[in-house]
Amino acid sequence: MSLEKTEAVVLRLFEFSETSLVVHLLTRDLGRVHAIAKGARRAKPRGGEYLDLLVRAEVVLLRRSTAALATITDFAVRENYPTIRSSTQRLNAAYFLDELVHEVSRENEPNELLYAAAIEGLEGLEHGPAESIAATLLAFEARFLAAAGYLPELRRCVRCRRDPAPAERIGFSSRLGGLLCSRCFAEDPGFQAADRGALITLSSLLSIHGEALGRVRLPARTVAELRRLLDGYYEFVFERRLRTARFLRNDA
Amino acid sequence: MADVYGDSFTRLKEEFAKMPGIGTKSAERLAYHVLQSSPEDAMKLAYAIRDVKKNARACSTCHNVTETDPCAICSDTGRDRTVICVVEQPRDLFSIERTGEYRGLYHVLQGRIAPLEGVDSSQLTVDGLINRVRGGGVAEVILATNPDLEGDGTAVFLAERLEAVGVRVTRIAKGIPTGSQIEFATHTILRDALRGRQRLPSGAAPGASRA
Repeated sequence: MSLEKTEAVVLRLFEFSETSLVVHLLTRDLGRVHAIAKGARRAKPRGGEYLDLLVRAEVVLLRRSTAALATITDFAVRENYPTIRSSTQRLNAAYFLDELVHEVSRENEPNELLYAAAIEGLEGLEHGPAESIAATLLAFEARFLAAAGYLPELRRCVRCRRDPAPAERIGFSSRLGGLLCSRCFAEDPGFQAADRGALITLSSLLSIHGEALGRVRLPARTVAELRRLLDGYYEFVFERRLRTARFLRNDA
Repeated sequence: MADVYGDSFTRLKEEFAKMPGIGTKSAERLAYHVLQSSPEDAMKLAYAIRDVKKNARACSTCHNVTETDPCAICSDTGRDRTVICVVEQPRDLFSIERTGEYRGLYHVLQGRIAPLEGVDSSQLTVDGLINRVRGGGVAEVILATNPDLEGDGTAVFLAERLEAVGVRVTRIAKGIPTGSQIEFATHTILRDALRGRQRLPSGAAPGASRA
């Protein structure tokens, strides 16, 4: 039995009883943790703080090696992202971020890069201007894919490692994991035609952070192209369509 | 292991165990209670379950649970028909009714937008609400969805849709509960309270106006 203090983002909430919740947390130090929050549904919850989706909090967890669920003994909200809550566009991007992170995070396997990508993504959605939401989400996705070990090859051919010529037609292979040059199209007949500029944009977003990211304005065509390629890629990697993806296209 | 009381007792126990918040032990206790009660009392429970399933339905106007259509609230001519309070579930409506503070009409969404569960606005009664407002005579819509992420998101979505129709849209207040103390309020609650602060009208307590 151990008491552990860490920082976490709430990814999922499930009603457990009249007064308790089961919570899936992405923690900074412990990976994904599933925990019970006793009394969290009361009008006056223990500790005085209400648990909610996508809040960032300091948590104290009681963990027993024999129990499947940890117990939350203290929960102090650091940030509940009020701007995200007040905009459908920001909120839907945040839900998408949540689903991606929940999909790749593993119980009790810390991933600092994944946690950092999630926090940077939420901070960007909270503080960035409305015009940069698409760029902020795509930058998060690039960092998320890198942290999860799924980042596709975006600049060279994933098969022959060659830089395509400037005017060369290129493709994107979800199966092979990235850009496919015209000479290698036969390697994956299921490849999608792709725009090289869009792939380079996604790669560049990896190194843009904070306020600089808030100044990025992407053409609608580039966003649509990357959305199309990434949605197909996620479907291949996770072997299912993400539930929240359609909310990015239709507001709700 | 087969139940010593027989198949019908086991079936009853299993049915109770399907109810929210009822575990195996509680289900067994309830089943014993039914077993030991008089035939009249046990049949009253059975008839109550049968009748609620037979008679209760959603009001075609507000989607509240009712046995008459329209429901008692929608048919009440004494209520303020210019205000509609939007709630997620019938139980939220009952909670607001218990306050005795609100005399307007309601609209029950039958849920909230929950993208992580794949629930979108088409699975709610949003179109019915928009049509009621478009029908005219509504001056204000109060959004009383839960003050959590999904409730807030649903409220923002509805506000965008309703403002396009040209009606005043308000949200229930968030902040420090009456009787509590600022010293013990969390920073998120205090922030909500400060953002939702209201002007104190001269000669009236805040929130004294009734719909």
